[in-house]
Amino acid sequence: MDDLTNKASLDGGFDDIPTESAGVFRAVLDAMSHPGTMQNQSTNLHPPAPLSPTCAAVILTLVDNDTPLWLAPELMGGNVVQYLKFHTGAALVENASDAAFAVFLASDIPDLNQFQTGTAEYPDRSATMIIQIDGHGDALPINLTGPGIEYKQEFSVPGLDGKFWRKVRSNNSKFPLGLDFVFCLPEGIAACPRSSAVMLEETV
Amino acid sequence: MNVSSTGYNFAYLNEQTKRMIRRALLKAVAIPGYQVPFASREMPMPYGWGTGGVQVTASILKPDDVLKVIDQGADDTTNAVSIRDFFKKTAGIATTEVTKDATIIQTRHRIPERELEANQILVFQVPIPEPLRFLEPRETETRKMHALEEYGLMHVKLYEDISRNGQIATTYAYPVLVEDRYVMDPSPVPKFDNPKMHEMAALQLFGAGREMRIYALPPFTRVKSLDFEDHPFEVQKWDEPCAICGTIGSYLDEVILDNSGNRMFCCSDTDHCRSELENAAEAAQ
Repeated sequence: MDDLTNKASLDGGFDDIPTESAGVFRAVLDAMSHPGTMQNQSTNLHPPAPLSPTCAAVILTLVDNDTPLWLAPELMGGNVVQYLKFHTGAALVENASDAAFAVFLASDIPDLNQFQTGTAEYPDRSATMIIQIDGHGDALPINLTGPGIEYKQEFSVPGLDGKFWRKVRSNNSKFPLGLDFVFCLPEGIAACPRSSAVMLEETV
Repeated sequence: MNVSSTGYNFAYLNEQTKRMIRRALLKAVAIPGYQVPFASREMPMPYGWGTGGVQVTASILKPDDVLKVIDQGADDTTNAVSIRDFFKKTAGIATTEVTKDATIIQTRHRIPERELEANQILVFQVPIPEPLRFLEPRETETRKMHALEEYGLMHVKLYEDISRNGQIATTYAYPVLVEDRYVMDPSPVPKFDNPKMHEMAALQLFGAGREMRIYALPPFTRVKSLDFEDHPFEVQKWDEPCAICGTIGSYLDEVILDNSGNRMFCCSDTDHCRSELENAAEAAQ
C-alpha cells in the first residue's frame, strides 16, 4: 500500500474539476482536430516534479480507473506516482502493451512498437501517447498534412528529432491503426493524431 | 446564474462519464468516419430525442460557450427549446438562435445555411450510425466490412435505386466516403447538406445514444457523397424562392396551409430566414 497520507501528493489537483477539466479537454480536442497547432492552455496545477503542470492537466482530464497508465521510468520516482494515483485512480501498468495512455519525456522516447495500435475491426483500441516537452533541445521543423489541416501545417517541438518524426511517419502509414500523440509544452498543448502524414525536410 | 444551486454537476453528466465520452471523441477525431463505441448513459429524455447529441455536447461544453440547438433547421421547435433549456439549467451557459454567435451548435437533421467557422463545433444527433445496417443487420459483419473496406453492398444498393427508379432515390442520410477510407452515415440530414460537410472549417461531431456510437469529421476533411460516373451526385433544387424571405438556394420545407391543399415553401433554417428578412429590410431603408 502506498503512502497516500503524504500531503504533497494530495495537493496540486484541479480546484474546480468540472470547469477546469472542460477547458483542458477543449484544448486537447482543438489540438487533435487541428494537428500541429499550439492550443494555449494555462493551468493552476502544482504537480510534484518532474511532472509538468500541462502534462498533469492532460492526464487528470483524460485518465481514470478505466484506463491503465504506463509511466516512463523517470516519472516513477518521487511523488508523481502517488499524485497520479490519488487524482486519477488509474492502475499503473508495467507492461506497455496493457496501457491505454503512456506518459514520457521528450528526452527519453520509449520503444513505440510496444504499445497497442488497435485492431482492424476496433482501431480505437489503441494507446495515446502523452509526451512532456520541457522546451530543451533542437526543434526539427516538419510539415503535417491530412484531416484537420487545410493545406499543410508547419510544426516543430523542442527536443523531438528526425528519428522520432520518422517513427510518427511510419505510425501514420498504419492508418486506421496507430498511436495518437499529445504534446504537453509549458505554454500549451499540441497533437498529432494517426491520421496526420508527416513530411520531414529531407522528403519535402 | 449559479449552477451549483441546481444541484447538478456542471453540464449534467458526472466527471467519469465525461472522461469516457471525451476519450471516445478524441479517438473519433483521430480516425475520421470510424464509429467509436462508447458507454452511452440514460439521459432524462427518450431515445430518439437526441440523447447521443446531448451527451457529446455535455462533454465538450465550457462555461463560456454559447449554445445553439436546431431541430430540422428550426430553433423554436420542442426538441430544440428543451435541449437549450436543459443546458441553461445544468451548465449555466449562454444560448443563442443566431448561427454566427454560437460556439457549439447541436443539430437534428440539418446543417445551418450559413458557412460555419473554425471556432465553431457542430454536434449531430444520430439515430442509426451504421450506414450498412439496413443492408446487413449483423454488427459482427458490418464491422468486418468496415475493417476490410468492403463497401460493394452499398454501391449495389445505389445501383438498384437507379435500375428501379431511374435515379438514386436516397434523399436523406445519403452515404458518404470519408478521406477515401470509411463509408459514413451523415445522420438524416437531407442530401442537400452533404456538400457542406466536405472540408468544412468547423469540427463535426456525431453522437448516437441508443446505438452507443460516436464519430467525427475534423475540419477540412474530404467527404464525398457516393455516386457513379454516369449518375453523379446531385442535391435537391426548388423552382421557387422561400415564401417568407424570398431567398433562392436555401433548403425549403413544404408547409400545408389549409384543408384544400394549398401549400407554401419556406426556409427550413429559421435563423437564415430571419437574417435574410432583416437584410432585406435594411436594404429597403
